[in-house]
Amino acid sequence: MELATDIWVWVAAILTLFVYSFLIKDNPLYKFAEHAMGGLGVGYWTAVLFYNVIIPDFWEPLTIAIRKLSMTPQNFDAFMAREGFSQMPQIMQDFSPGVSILLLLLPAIIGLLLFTRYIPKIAWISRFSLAFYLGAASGIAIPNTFQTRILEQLRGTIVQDAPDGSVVPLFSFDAWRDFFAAPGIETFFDAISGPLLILGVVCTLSYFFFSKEHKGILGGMARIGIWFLMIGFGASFGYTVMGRVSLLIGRVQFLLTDWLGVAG
Amino acid sequence: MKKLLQKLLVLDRRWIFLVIGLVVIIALVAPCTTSIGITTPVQSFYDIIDNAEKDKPVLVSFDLGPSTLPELEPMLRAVVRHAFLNDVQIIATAMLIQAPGIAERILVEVTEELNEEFEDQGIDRRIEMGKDWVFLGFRAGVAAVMLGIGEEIRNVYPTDYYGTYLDDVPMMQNIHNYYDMSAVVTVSGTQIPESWVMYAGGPSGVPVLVGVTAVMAPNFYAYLQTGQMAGMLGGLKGASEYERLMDYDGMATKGMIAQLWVHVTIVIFILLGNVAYFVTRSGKKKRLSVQR
Repeated sequence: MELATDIWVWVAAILTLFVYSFLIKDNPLYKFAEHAMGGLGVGYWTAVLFYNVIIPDFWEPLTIAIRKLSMTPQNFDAFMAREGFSQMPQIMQDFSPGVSILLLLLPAIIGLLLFTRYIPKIAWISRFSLAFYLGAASGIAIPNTFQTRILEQLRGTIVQDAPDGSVVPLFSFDAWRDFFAAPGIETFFDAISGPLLILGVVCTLSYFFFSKEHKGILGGMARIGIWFLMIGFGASFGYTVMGRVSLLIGRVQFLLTDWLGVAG
Repeated sequence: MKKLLQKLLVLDRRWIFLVIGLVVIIALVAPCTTSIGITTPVQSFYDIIDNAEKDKPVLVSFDLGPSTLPELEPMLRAVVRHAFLNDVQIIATAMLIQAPGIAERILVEVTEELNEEFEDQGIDRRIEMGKDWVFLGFRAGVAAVMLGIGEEIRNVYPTDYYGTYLDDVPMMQNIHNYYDMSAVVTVSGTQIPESWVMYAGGPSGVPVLVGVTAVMAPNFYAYLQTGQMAGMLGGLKGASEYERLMDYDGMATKGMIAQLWVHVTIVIFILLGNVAYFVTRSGKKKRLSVQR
């Protein structure tokens, strides 16, 4: 047993115990850890965003562009050398200093307008920023989402890529022929997996088809769909249990190894 | 016996917490061995890193926060270690704001571990930042960053995390976009792997390998079936399989032993609960029928 000598390991260990004290019952120690976590998180986020986004993406290019406009070439070169900038910011490689300033200020102003939500009388102005953001995000996301989630998934329900690079149908007669030629677990699963996947997709979609009453063939398919859904939920739940247990194991590993030094 | 079963039905859940906690502690303090089978998604993941071309780096995106570290850190350590041992360079990025500190720590620790091992074994080799790996840090705007890397990585990351221009980083001399990379690895407990498929794998064809928390894993199996994801590590089990393939006893292998015993304990609790429920229910039914 070799106790940790690092003060921060002790802080982390004690806060971990504070959090787990909630398992006994809600208490001030747990609340302290919870609030400390929230406060530290906000502080950390603010600092990282400021130094990784505001400074390199906005402040540095803006000050360089302003100096480029206001200084003589010799003084500007001396400024760049003094500040350690061996390259012009990307935006100034593509645009003139004046246009760069405009292109930097425009998104900054759009961003600042979001804060008008704090002033009820002019809160409506923030909608312009949100509309711009949603429009840009949708423009980027819609074509790619359609391709990834719909077209490729649809293709994956009809055909599959064989190891030799060829495209074969998901319902493959060759796979069944292979199974009957050499019956075994592997050939059986190769043959059954494609049809099972098609059946699962069609029946599960049938369950969510509400334009017709679930009777007759549609009702039967919907019932099979429920089975596929339940198996899916079961697998998800199993994975969730494993995930939560992993988090506990990770914390106990930290307490035993890093803090108490009893497990290697 | 029946009284005992009735007591089980109203057992204070804190006893269950205590038992689970003790099982984890015992399994970690006095570990035994367990066999870990290798699944196809993990094997595919491993094969792509193992066969990556030496002059084409792997982009490893640390898209995780502290809350998912126990599951995802073993994966990252194993993948980074595997790449370095195979002379495959790593371009590290972070799409989540919480990730830069974690990413830097893992890269530095694995580098130090391997350099110590090389020294102990008398191998004349050193892993170095700039030659074997570069850490680019965090940039806001997930989709825009991924699309930007597809055009020219310098447009999104003019400098690395420490402020060195990418043109001055030796390993980045001929690297411009996904076409110059062997694969994209994303390790996350969020939906970000799906974004890598949408904005990197889909447009450029670069293989996307994902390491995800167990909770997220079922969401991504559809992408494996279609080939949009070339390999996947799901939770601690996926990480332990990867460690087995590397023949390396890391954090995941040790954790899986505890995981195994906790699962056994949970199954026992479920069985006991069901037995208690059905036995006491049949007793209640009999009493009801006698009263009628």
